[in-house]
Amino acid sequence: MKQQVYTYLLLALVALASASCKKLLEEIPEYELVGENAIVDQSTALNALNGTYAFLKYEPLASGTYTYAFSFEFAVNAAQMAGLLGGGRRSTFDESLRYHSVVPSDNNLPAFYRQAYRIVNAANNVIHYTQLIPASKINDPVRKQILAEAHFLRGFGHLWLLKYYGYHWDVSSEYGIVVRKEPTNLGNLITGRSNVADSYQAIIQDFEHCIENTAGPSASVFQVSNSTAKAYLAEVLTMRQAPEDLSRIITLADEIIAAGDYKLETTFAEVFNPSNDYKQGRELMFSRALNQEALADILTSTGFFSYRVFHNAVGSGGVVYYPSDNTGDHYITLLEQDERYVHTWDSVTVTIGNPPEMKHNLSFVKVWRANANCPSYLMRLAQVYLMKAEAMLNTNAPVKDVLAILNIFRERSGNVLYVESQFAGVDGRHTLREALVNEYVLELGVENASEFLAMVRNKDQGGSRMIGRFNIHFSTDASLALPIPHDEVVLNKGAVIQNPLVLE
Amino acid sequence: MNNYLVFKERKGYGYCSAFLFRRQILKLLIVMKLTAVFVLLFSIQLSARVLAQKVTLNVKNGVLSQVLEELQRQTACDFSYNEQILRKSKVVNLNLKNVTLEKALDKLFIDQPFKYELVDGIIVVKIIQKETKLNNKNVDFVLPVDSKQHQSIRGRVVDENGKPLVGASVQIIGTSNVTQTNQNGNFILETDRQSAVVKIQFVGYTTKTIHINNTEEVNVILVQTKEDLDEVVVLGYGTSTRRTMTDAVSSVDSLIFQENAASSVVEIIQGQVPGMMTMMGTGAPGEEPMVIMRGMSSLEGNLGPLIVIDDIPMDESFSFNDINPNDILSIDILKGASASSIYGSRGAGGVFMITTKNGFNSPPTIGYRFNYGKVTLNEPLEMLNADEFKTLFAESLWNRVRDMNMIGNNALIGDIAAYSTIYRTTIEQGFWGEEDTDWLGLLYQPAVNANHNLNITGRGEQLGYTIGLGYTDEVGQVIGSGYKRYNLDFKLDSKQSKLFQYGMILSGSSQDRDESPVSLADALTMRPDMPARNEDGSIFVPATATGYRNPLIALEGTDRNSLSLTYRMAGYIQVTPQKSVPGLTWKTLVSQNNSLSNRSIYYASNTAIGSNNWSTTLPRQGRRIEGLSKTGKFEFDTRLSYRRTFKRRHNVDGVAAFNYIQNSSFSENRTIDNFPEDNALNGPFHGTTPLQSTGTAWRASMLSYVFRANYNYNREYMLTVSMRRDGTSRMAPNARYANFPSVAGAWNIGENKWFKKQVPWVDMFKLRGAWGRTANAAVPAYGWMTTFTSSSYNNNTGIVPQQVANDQLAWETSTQYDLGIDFSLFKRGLLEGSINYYNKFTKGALNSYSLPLSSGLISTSTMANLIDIENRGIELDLTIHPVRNRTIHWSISGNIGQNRNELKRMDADLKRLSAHAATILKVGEPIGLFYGYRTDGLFSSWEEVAYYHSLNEYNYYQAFHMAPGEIILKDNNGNGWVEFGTGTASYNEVERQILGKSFPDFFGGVSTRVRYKGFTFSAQGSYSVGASKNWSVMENQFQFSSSNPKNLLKLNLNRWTPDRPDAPYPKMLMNPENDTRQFGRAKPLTSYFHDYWIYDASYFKINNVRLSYDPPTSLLERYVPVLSRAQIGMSVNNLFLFTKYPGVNPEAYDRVDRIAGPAMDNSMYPKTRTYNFSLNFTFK
Repeated sequence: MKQQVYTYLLLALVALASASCKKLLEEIPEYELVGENAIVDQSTALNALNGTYAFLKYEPLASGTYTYAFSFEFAVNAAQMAGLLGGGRRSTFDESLRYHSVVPSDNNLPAFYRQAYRIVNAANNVIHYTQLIPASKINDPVRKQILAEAHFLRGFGHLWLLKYYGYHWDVSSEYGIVVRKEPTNLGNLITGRSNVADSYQAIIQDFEHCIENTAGPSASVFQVSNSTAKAYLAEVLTMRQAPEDLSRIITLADEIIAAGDYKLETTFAEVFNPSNDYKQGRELMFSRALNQEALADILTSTGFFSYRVFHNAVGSGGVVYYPSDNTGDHYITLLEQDERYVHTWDSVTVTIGNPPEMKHNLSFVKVWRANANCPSYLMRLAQVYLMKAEAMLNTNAPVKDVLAILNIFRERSGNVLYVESQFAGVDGRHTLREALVNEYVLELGVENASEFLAMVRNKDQGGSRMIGRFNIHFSTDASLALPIPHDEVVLNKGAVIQNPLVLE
Repeated sequence: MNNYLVFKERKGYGYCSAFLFRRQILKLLIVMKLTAVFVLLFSIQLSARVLAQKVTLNVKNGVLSQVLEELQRQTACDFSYNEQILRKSKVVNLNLKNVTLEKALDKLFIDQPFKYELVDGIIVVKIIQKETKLNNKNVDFVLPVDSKQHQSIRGRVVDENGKPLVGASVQIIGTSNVTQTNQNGNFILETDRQSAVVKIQFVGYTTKTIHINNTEEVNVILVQTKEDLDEVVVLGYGTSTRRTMTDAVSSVDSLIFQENAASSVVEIIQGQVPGMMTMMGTGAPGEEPMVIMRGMSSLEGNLGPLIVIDDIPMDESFSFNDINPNDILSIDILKGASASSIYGSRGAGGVFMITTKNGFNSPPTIGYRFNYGKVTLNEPLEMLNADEFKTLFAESLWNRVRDMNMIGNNALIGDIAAYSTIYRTTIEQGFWGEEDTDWLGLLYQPAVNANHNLNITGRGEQLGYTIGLGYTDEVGQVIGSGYKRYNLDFKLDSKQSKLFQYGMILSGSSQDRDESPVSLADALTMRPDMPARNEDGSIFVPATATGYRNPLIALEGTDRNSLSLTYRMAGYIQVTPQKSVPGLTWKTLVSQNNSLSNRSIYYASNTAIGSNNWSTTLPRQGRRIEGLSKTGKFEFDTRLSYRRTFKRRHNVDGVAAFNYIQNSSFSENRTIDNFPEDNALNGPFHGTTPLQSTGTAWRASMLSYVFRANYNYNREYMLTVSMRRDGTSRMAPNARYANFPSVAGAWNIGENKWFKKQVPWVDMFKLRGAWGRTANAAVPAYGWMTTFTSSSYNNNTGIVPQQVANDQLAWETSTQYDLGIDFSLFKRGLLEGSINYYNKFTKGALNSYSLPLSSGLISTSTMANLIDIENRGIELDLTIHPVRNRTIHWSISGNIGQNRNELKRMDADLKRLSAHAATILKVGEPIGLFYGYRTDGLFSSWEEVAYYHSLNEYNYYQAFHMAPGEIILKDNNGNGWVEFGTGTASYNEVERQILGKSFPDFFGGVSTRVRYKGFTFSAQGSYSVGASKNWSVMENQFQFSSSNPKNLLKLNLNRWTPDRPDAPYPKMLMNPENDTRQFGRAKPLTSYFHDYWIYDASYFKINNVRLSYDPPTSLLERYVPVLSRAQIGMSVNNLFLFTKYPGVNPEAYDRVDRIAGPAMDNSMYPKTRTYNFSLNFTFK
C-alpha cells in the first residue's frame, strides 16, 4: 500500500514537473516590433527603408529621443570650422568649432556623432533582413531597389562621419572611422576604427553597389537615384584624390550631366525659388523631406524639441548667426563683392507663436527658409560641375576648360566672368585653384560642408591649406577632424582610438 | 470619471475582460492537462482504507501503550491517546500474523476499558466511561459523548481577564478544518460526532489542545505565554513556529496594528523589524515610503520586498498603501537565505507575508472601529519676513560692491555702476512694497484624518463569510493635498464535504490622492513685501518677466486628481483525503490582481504651466495632462502538501507546487494644449492641440516549480531543504530558467532533555544556519529582444531599430547565508530575542550598460549583468518583560540592524549616476556615495584670500567667488588651485572626491507596552544613525539675484558677517551682473556639488504613543449590553523627532533615482504631528 502511495505521489510530481510549459513563456510584444517580425515582407522592408531615410529629418522620435537636425547641423558645423559664420546658440560649441578647439567631452558631440550611426545601423538592418525575406513575399526588383538604397544610405552615413571625424585628407592615415556593415548586436558592439583607406573603400563599395543596382531617376529628390549615387561617389573620390580617381570623377560627372535627370537652374536665385522646391528634374538632386505644413507645425508648435531646431536656426529674438567676423575678413570681402550674397544671407520674417507674432532675423536662407518648404541642399548638380572642374584642374586640363565650368555659375549669378588671362603666368594654376575654392564657398557655402572640404584638400602655392585664408584659427591639420566623442572612446573600451587632440 | 471612457480597452490589456481571463485559463488547462489527470488519479487511489493495512503482533504481558507504538511503527498511522490514562489498561497478550489493522485493534481492545475510533485518519483511543476529566497539561477538557453523527463545535476564547481574543486560530488537529475567533472571541467549527482534537492558538498566548468527545460549546481560557515560541509563523507555501523555524523570519507584534492609527502599514511597522530600513519620504498624504530589507542588492530591479497577502504574491506595482492596516492580522517577514529563497526570483528583497483577518462564525458579529486624527504643524519652514528680506538684500548688495572694490578689477568698474543703479532703484526709490505676506502660511490648512472600519462575519451550515469595509479620509497640511481610501474585503469559505473545500476572496481598494497644485517652491521664493491679493480682492499677479509666481494662481487655477483602483479576486479548491492519505492536501488557487490608475491635471490658462510661463512668443491657452496606467496579474497555483508525525517525535512536512504568473502593464500619458475656456470647456476632448502621447505596454510570464521538505526530531533538530526553479519570459530562451536551492538547519538546545535538566531557565536556545539563493526578476519585459520603433518620413510610415538584442541578459542572483541564534530565557520568557548575521552576495546585478555611440540605436543603453554587490550585516532584537502577572504586563522591545554594503565589481571603476551628479558608484565602496568638491570652511579675511591666491603662479585659486565669508574649496590634487571643467564639458574629476555616504551605520527601533487592568499604554520609536543627506534647498540660500530677488529661509539670519566670523553659513551676496561664464557664486553652488550642504541625517523618532482603556465585560453587560467589547484610545503619531538635520525631514528622499535617492532631499513639505482619538466596538 505504502509503495502504491509513493508511486502515485511520484507520478503526480513528475506530472507537475514535466508539464511542457514552454509556450507559456513566449511573450511577443503587442506594441513593439522585434527582430523576428519587423522586416519580413516587401511592405515592412519598405517601411524600414523609409525609417532609415527618416533620420535625415529633425523631429523627436516616438520615444522622445531627440534627433539632431541632421541637414542643419551637419552643414553648419563645417561652415563654422571653415570660418564662414559668427554667432550661434549652441553654448560654447559654435565658438569652439570656429576656433578649432572642440574638446572630446563637449556635450554637443555625442548626439551629432550618434545620428550618423543611426543611419548606418538602420541601413544595415534593412540590408540584413531584406536579404532573408523569402522570394514569395517580395518582388525581386523591389528587393534589389531596397538593397541598393540601403547600401547608399549606409555609405552616406559613413561618408559624413569620415568628413567630420576621420583624416579624410590623408589616405595613409590610421584615423578612419568605425565601419559597421552588420546590424549592431552584442557581438559586434565593440568595434575599432578602420584606417582611412579602408574607410574610403567601404563607402565607395556601397555607392558602387547602389549605382549598379539602380537605373534612371528616382521618384523624388528625397530618394537616391542612379545619378545621385554617382554624384556621391564622385564626392568621395574627390575627397580621396587618388591618381586613378580623377578620371573617374570626370567620367561620373559627364555621365550624370549626360543622363539629363537633373538640370542646372538658369539663375542662382532660381535654385532657392520656393516655386522650384523639390521639383524633379531640376538642380536639386537630394534633400531631406520637409514641407510647408510640417514646417508650419514646427514653427507654431509649443513642443520643446521642435522649438529648439527653430531656435538654433533662426532664434526667437535676436540674431543667431551672422557672416563671419572674428575669423578673418576673407569671406566677408569675397561675399560682399559677389552677387550671390543676397541669396545667401537674408533678413527673414517668421511668424511664430499662438497668437502669431512676427519675428525678424538675419538668417542664411540656404539652410533655413521659413517661408517655404525649407529644402536642404545635400547634393545639387552645381557640385557635380565643380567637382569635375577640380578633377580637370588636377589632371592639368587647359585653364579655359576649367574656367568654362566656373563661369557657368558666375554667369548665371550675375557676376563678372573669369577670363583666361587672369590665370596666366607661373602662378596661374594656383590662382585658378583659389578661384575654384572661392566658387565652392560662394556657390555651395553653408549647404553641405563641400566648401569646407574644398578648403581643406586644396593648397595654395605655398603648400598651405586654403582653409587658413578663411579661418585664421586654423593652424594644424589635427583640428580639421573633430575629436571622437569622449563617450565613444570610453564605451568602446579602447577599441576606438582618439584623434590626436589639438588641446592637450 | 468620464476620462476612463477615453482610453479604449486594448486587446490583452483589458483587465476586466472576461475574454482574457478565459483565454488564460484555457491556455493553462491545455498545458496542464497531464497534471490534472495525474492528480485526479492520485486522489482517487489514495482513498484506500487505513484500517486495511496488514500488521503482525506477538505480545506477552505487554503494556497497551507499547503495543500502540508498535502498531504505529508498522502502519505509519497516527494514534491519539493519553499515556496517563492508558496506565489503567490491562496487560496485553496477542499473537497475530499478517492481519488487518482493524482486526488487530478489535482484538487489542476487547477487554480494555477503552475503545478506538478512526477520526480523519487518526486512530483515537478513548476511555469508555462518560464525563471523565483528564488531568493533562495539554488536554484541558474531555467532554460528554453524544450520539449525533455531526455537530457544530461552538466556543469562545478569552484571556485570563475574560476579554475575548479576536483572531485566535482554532483547528481540528489532523485536518485543514480551521477558523478564527471573531470580535467576540467566538468560533464555530463543523466536525464529526466524536473525538475531535482541537488546537487553539493565539499570538502571545499558550496554545491549548482540547480533546472533544462530544459537545456543542466550549469555553477556553488562554493564558499569556512566556514567549511566542509556538506562535504560528506564515512562511511561503506553509507555516511553522518560532520554535521550529530554521531560518531568520521576523514577526511584527500584531497588537501594534490596533494601537497605531496611521493609515500606512510601513509607518506602523517602521523600526519594528530588524534589518528593515525605511524612509518615509516627505510625509505628504499617501506618499509611498522606501523599504529596503538587508541592504540594497540591486540597482535596477524592484528594490522593495515581495508582498504576499494570504498566500498570493502581489506584483511589482502593488504598494503597501494598497493595504488597509485594519485588515491585517499578522505580518511575517522572510529575510533569511532559506526562507526567502522559496520565492526564488522574487525573494531577493525579502518577503512580507501578510495574513488578513478572517473568521467564519455564527451568529454574525459586527465590529466597528473609528479613528479621528488632528494634524498639527511640527517645525514648519520659516521664511524671512519683509523687513528681514529688505535688510539682507541691502546687505548682499553692499557685500558685492565691497568685494569688487577690494578685488579692484577694471572689468568690474562698470558693474559697480550697475550695482549703483540697483542701489538707487531698490533702496532709494521705494522699490519695495509695504506688505508683509507669509506666503507659506497662506497655503496651510487645518489637517485632519478620519478612519472608519466595519467588519461583519458569519457562518451558516456550510458557508462562512467575512466582510470588511474601510474608509480613510485625510486632509493634508497644504491646501489641496489630501488622500481618500476605500477598502473592501470579502471572503467566502465553503465546506461541502470533508474531502472538498472551496472559497473565494474579493478585495480591493480605491485611492484618491490629491496632490496640492501649489508649488511650495513658488511660495518660498515669493517676495514677502508683495501682496497676495489686490485691494479689490483679486489675486495679485506679479509681472511675468520677474519670475515670481503667486502660488494662489496655481491654487485656484489647477485641478489635479489622481485615482487608483486595486482589486484582487481569488478562488481555490482544496482536497483533503484524510481518510486515505492522512496529512495530504491538494490545493489549487487561481487569482487575478488588477490595478487601474488615472491621473488628470488641468492647468488653467492663467497659471505658469497653462500659459507656458506667460510666454508671449509661444503662448499656451491651458494645458491638460492625462495619465492612465493599468497593471494586471494572473496566477495559477497548484500544490500538494503533506504533514505527518511519526512515532511522536519525527515531524515531517513537505510541499510540491507548480505556479504560473502572467503580469501585464499598460500606461499612456497625453498632453493636450489650448482650451477655449478654463472652467467648463477643459475636458480632454476640448483641447485643440494634442501633443504626441507617450506610453509603454508589456506582458511577462513566469513559471515556477517549488519543492520543500522540513524535518524535525522532537523539535530539537530541524532541517529544511528546498528547491525552486523559475523560468521567465523576461530572459532570452537560453537563460530563461534558473534554480534557487536552499538548505537550513537548526539545533534547539533548549529542547534537549539533558540541557533542560541542567539549565531549566533556558526555554529555547536555538542555533541555526541557512544557505540559499534568490534573484531579482524585475527586469524589462523585452530587455533581451531586438526591437524596432515607429517613425515616419515624407508622409510615409517607417520603422527604425530601437534596442539591441541581448541574449546574454541573465538573472541577478543573490547567494546568501545566515547564522543566527533564537533564545528565550528565564521564567516565562523574561528575556527573548534573536541575533542574526547574514552575508548576501549579488552576482551580476543588472545595470544600464551604455552602448558605444556608433551602435546607432535609438536606445543608448541596454541592461547587462555588470555589477556585483555584497551586503552583510548583523541584526539583534530583544524583548524583555520586567513585569508580567495577571494585573500588569510590561514589555520592552528593541532592535538594531547594521548593514555593510560594498560594490564588488562594475563595468567602470567610477560611474557618475545620471540623475544626480552628486553621487557615484565606485568599486570597493558602498552604494550611494556623495561625490564632489570638498570644502574647508569660510574665508575669514582678505589676507586669507590673498594667501590662497598666492598658492599658484596664476593667482587664481578657485572659480567660486573669493572673499571673506565665502566658501573655501579644498585643492584635492595639491597643485595650488581648484580645477573645474569647461562650460559644456564636465569630466574634470581631479578635484572631486567621495564626500560621504547616504546609508546609515545602524538603524532600528524600540517599543514598549504596559497593560494594567483595562489600561494599555504603548509607544514605538525608530532611529537611524550615520547617514548623510544633501538638503538641496540650501544651495539657493545666502544669495540674491540683483533683479527679482527671491525670498530666503529664516536661517539666512545666521549668515557670516565680520562681526560673526564663526557663523555656520556664508555671507549674503548679490550675484554678479552679466556673468556670461556663469562662474560667479550662484552657478558653482548649484552645479558643482560640494559638501557644505551635506548634513548628518541621524535621528530618533517617537513614531507613536497610545493610551487605551478597555472597560471590563461586567461593566459593558451592565450599561451597554449590546456590546461585547469596547475600547477607547488616544494616540499621537510623530510625537517627537530628535535630529540635528536642518532640513524639513531627515527621512525625505528623491523618488526619481532609487540609488541616489536617499542622498537627496529637496523636500519642503512641513513636518506634522497627528493626535488621534479612536473607538473600537464589537457588537453582540
